[in-house]
This record gives sequence, structure tokens and C-alpha cells, in this order.
Amino acid sequence: MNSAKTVSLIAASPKVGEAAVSDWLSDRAKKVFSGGGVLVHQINVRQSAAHRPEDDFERMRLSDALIFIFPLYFFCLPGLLIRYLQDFEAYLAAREAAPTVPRVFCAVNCGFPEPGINEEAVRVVKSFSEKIGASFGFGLMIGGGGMLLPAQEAPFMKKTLSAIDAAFERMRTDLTADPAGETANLEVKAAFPRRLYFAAASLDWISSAKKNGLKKRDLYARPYV
Amino acid sequence: MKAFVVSDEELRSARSAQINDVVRGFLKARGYGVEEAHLDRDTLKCCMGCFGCWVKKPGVCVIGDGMSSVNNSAMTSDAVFYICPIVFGQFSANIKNAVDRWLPNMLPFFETRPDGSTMHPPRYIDYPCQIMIGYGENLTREDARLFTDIIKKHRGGAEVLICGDPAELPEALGRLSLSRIGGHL
Repeated sequence: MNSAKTVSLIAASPKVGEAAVSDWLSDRAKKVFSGGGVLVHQINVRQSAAHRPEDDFERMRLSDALIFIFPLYFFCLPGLLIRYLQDFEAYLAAREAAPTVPRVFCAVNCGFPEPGINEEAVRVVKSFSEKIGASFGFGLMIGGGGMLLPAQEAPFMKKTLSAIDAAFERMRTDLTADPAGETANLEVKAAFPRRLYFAAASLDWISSAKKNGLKKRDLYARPYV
Repeated sequence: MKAFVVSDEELRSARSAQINDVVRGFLKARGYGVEEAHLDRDTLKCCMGCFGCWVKKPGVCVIGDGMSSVNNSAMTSDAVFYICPIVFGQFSANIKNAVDRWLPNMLPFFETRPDGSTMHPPRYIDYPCQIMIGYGENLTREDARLFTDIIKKHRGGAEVLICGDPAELPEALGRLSLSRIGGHL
């Protein structure tokens, strides 16, 4: 008899055709869960929504835990993910005697340095959990998400990445907790000086604009005056 | 004076229609020209986080749908009303797509606000005041509180009204200043 737990890792970056932190976090979480004997199903929300979300909805319905991994957009979930959650809730409602998913977690990353800015997004995922009859575990709130991909190999990021892995490990061990309840959210941020982070971001925007044939002053355009 | 009203057509209900009527009537009675956008499921694509609105066509969303028109209407108004079904304590998907794609109206850089939090600086000198009217059938106190927190904790200048009885809306609207505000949102 196979008693292995199953987890759906649901990455909801709206980005098209470029590397996304949420996908990278999903891969990282997969290593942690698979290493602990948990069966993992990875879902990319943009691809799933564009093709056959019902197949993924069914896998989600049968999972022991759902872990939503997404970027913070305007202090909350991106529209892409809210659409997916609305549709998943409708999918569950349309099924007779739909079993509930036992556990829900989330990992939110924000470009701003302070991880606490993700708190309301975690509360939204908790509210969603309650609506589908699931028990919410906790949220991993990441600040300075813009550093994760470009600086992942840098020595100063080791502590940050270890903290992220530890949070996924806590989700994995939480899966077997009895009784499973809500625990405190975790905050992780890139160990990088705030002023340098701001300066690096500014240089990056100006550099990107120049690659597109624009001058720095063009960034300040006011088309709707 | 001009006001722009954005509502969710996909989740349209008797209550949302009533709220729309009340808001429209309130504004017209005060001499506002009213423009409306009813967002259906396919009206606006979701923001794809490409930042083209910052580094390719600064100030304009590069997705070729109706959002540039929505942003133009919003930015040239004195007041923008979002009539929002509250879903899991936040905006519905259709309204959130419009909110996410407000991004062109901000600058890409980071700055620190007086409370120590980070924000993108304003692109414009002033903006329309924004009024978020949240509603929902069987809305829980927690979800109403969350909806308010999402807006009020992070966006200075935006107003939130949780609408139980639409008949009470005119009084609440009458207490608001419906004029353009300085740039820091």
C-alpha cells in the first residue's frame, strides 16, 4: 500500500518567455519535497490556464497539499492567479461530494526589499483555503525577490537560499502533522544593502531602456497628460 | 469634471447593477461626466510582468487590448471608481487585471516612503482620486477587513467603501472629496 503524500506546486508567474522567480522556487521546492518521499505535481498557471486547466484542477483536488508560489502584484495576488483560484473554486463547486484538499501553503516573492509587504497576499490565500474547506498552514514571504535569480550563485545569498529551503522543508514536515493547524508565517529577504539594491535596480531600468533605443529622460514620459 | 467607473461585468449581479446605478446617479447629479468600463472575462489580459510599460513604451502598456484606453480614461478623470466584487478578500480577477495594469502610471525606480516602506515613485504630478467600492454576497467580516487592508495599508489616497446596502452609498460618497490628488499613491 502506497501512503506517500502528494503535493501540487502551483507556480503563478504571469511572465511569458522569460525566467521567472516563481518557477525557480517551484523547482527548488520540488527538490525538497521529492527528497522527502513526497510525490510532486508541478503546475505552471499560465500554461495550465491556456490549455486544459481541468486536468490540473483534478490533480489539485486529489492532492494532500497545494502550495501556491507567486509574485506580489500591487500588494496582492496577480490577476492571473486570482482567475485560476476563481475557476478552481467553481470546478470544485460543480462536482458532487468533491473531497477537500487538506492543506494549503504559499510562497510569495516581492521585488521590494521588505518581506512583510506580502502579508495581505498570504491572508488572501488563507481566505481561499477556507472557502474550499482546506486548512491553511503558513506563508513564506520573500523580499528582494529581484536578487534571487541573478545573484543565486553569490556567496552572500547562501543564507537566504538556505532559509527558503528550510521553509519548504517545514511545509513538508507539516504535511504529516496531526492535528495540522495554522502556524506563523516566515519572512526571508535577500541579504543585500537596501541602498545598493535600489541603485542596482535603477541602473538596470536605464540600461534596459537604452537597449530599446530610449534615453534616460524617456523613462519619465507622461503620455496621458 | 469627469469620473470613470470600472466594474466587473462577468460577476454582474443585482447588487452590482444597483451599485452602478447609485454611483452613476450620484455623479451625474453633481455635474460629472461619467465614462464607464464594464470588464468581462476577456476584456483585459492579465499583466505579464514584462515591464515594457517602463522600458519600451514608458507610460503605456504594450499589450494590445483595451487597457491603454482604460488608463487614458482613468488618468484624464478627476475620480475613478472601481466597483469590485470581493473574492477571497481581494479584487476579482477582472478588476485585478485593471489594477495590475495601472503599473505604466508609475515610474520603475524604488523610493522609501516616510514609514520606511518601498514604493515606485509617481510618473505624474497628480492623479485621479481612486474609490474602491467592495461588495459581496455573504461577505465575511474578515474578507471585508482584508480588502480594506490591501488598499489602505499600501496606497495612500485611495478610499475604500464596503457596500452592504447600496441605498446607503450616496451618504458615504458625499463625505468623499472627489478631486485629483498629489502624486504619491
